[in-house]
Amino acid sequence: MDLVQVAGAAALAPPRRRDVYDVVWDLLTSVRIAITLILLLTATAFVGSLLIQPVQTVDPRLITDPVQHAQFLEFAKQRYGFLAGALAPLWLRDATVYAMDAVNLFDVFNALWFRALLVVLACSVTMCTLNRLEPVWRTLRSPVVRRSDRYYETARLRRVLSAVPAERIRAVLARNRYRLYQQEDGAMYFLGDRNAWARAGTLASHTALLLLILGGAVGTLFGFKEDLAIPNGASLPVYPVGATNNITVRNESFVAQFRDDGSPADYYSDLVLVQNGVEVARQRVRVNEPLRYAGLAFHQSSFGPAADVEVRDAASGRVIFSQIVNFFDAVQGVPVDRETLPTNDDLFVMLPPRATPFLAAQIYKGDALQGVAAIEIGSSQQIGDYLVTFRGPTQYTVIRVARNAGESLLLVAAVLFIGGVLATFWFPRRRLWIRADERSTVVTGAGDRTFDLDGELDRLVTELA
Amino acid sequence: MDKMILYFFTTAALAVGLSLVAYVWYGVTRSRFAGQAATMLAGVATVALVLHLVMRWTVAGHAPWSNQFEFASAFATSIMVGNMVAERAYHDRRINLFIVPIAFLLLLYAALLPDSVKVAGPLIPALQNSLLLTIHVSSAVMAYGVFAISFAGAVIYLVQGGPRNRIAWLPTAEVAEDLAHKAVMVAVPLQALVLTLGAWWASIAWSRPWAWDPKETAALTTFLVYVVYLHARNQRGWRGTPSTLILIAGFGATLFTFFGNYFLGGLHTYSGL
Repeated sequence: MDLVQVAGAAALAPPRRRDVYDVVWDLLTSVRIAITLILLLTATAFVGSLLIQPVQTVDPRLITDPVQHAQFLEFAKQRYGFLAGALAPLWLRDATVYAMDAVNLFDVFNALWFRALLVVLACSVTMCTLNRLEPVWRTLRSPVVRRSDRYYETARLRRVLSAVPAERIRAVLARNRYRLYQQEDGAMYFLGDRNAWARAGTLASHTALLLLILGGAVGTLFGFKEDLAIPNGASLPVYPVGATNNITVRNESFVAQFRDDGSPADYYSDLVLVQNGVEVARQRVRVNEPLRYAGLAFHQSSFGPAADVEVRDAASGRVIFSQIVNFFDAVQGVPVDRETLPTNDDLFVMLPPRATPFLAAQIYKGDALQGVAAIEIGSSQQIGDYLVTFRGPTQYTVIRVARNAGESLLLVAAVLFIGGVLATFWFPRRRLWIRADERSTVVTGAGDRTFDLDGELDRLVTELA
Repeated sequence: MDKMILYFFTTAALAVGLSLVAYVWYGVTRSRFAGQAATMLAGVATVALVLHLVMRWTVAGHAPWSNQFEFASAFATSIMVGNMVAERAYHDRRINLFIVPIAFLLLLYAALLPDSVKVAGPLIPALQNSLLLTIHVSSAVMAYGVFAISFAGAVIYLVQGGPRNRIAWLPTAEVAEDLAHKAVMVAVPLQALVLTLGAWWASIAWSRPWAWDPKETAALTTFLVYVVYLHARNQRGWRGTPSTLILIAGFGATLFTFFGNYFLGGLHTYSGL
């Protein structure tokens, strides 16, 4: 009587109130939420590949520099204003682009909300995986050899044979590479477990995702990247974060070869690395052959035209500027550059593409043009107060110095993911529960969703009979 | 030699077209002769396509998938190989009726490209990495080909209206769904390999493994769509038509990635094509 009352009281007791932890737990362990998060990530990646992302494809300053960003938005209005609708008034088209910019659609992969999405997804995947770990572990550690009598009678997939000797059952299961467990209790009970190890596949592929996100974060936080534009024969120092000794890169010579149609056939830089006054490495660096030294990689990134220029004070003959000018910009295909002289006047130079190149030079005092000259190779011309010499054309090579942190994590993640997915899909776990006595043998089982257990039972029954 | 290569391409494209006619003929009449003719023509087409790639490889001295024409040809080859595997595995030529048209359309697209890209040529410096060009892009060729097979399965499933199996002379929705799922099981690890090898190559040539370049992002999008499919397929309420629709989106993403060179920009666009 007492027992009944206690049981009744328990049944009637109000269920424990779900607190905020329960809600968070349910959300994080829900596969549906995980799917939704991956869908959001997919949609973001899709948008990011459709809309121009200046940081990745053009120039980060279009996002970071306020003036250039304003210019970029003007361009974006022309290009993406139509998203407001074909008939939308101008202000709505502009507002649409401003709204897109406000939610970082032109720099989605660096947006805070995108990173937050990755973190939430990482948590969700971790929780979903941990949530499934315990039951999987249990079936691996304590296999159930004998199931309830009712199971052998009612299992969805079952085959009933006449009595089969235990020896033959063991032989057939062994031949089919099942791990065998057995127990005697009136009848003989067998459990055949195949590919149990493959259960770790899901764990591996989901751990891979976490490592990917972690590797990406490590790369962002601890990586180092610097572009050095080095004219032929010149040297530039590298200052990797955390390096004890600075390294100097010398570009001994840069060579670019072109085919008849103007496409590049090959280009390379002969680089020399000097550390503490000692040469430590030397290599011909191509796009696909970077120079690696002390955890840094020196990549052939790009190249451009340069000019060897000297400027003297015309009155005194004193040299006030003598260096190789790199043409980073071009106006209508003509390389241009502006240098500020020590006198605060500006030297503006152009290198028109000609069979025999000449340097077009201008001198500005503030906005006022002082003079213009076309200077042949090896000659000088006076422009305003200056004597400008064009010693000759040359080239600069852009060497990207990079240290990629977290790359080993990415490699481990890739191996874990591919291995995990292959194990899950192509080594499906299947378990057979067999009860054998003098009268009959019942064969039942369970298998992963990708496995045709019905067919397997048919095959085994033929072998057993 | 260039003419010889294009001769093989044309022969292959014609054989694919004729095999398609034969598969349709078989689908409508179930004639034994039509079925055998379809299989034979598809076999001839596949061999011609493979020979076409081998010849290009020999002449150019690099793996023959360095521009849109070459990739489209290789993509179609991969689909035709998948077509033969599917035919052997399922013994049902009505499935092939949905696979071969994709290969045919790709070859048609390749044939319409300008002549300049049809000639086997040298590589630009960024692509001059024999090992990675071979394995990174060939993984993509295989993955895309198998995604096409899963798309064919998804189309059959949807045409059948799912388990209702509306059209008696088509393969059943169950068979189609099985084909689509098995194809994804093959292609997803391959696509993961594409991304991994791509990251490895980018780390060598572009100084970083991942930089959200539009083409690599599109390839990731494709991968994620199929990851969603694999999870959704096992969820109540998503089984059947909803998850099959994800396969259609997945192949849309595959084509978006492939044709992306026209509109995506970024580092994967080599000379426009």
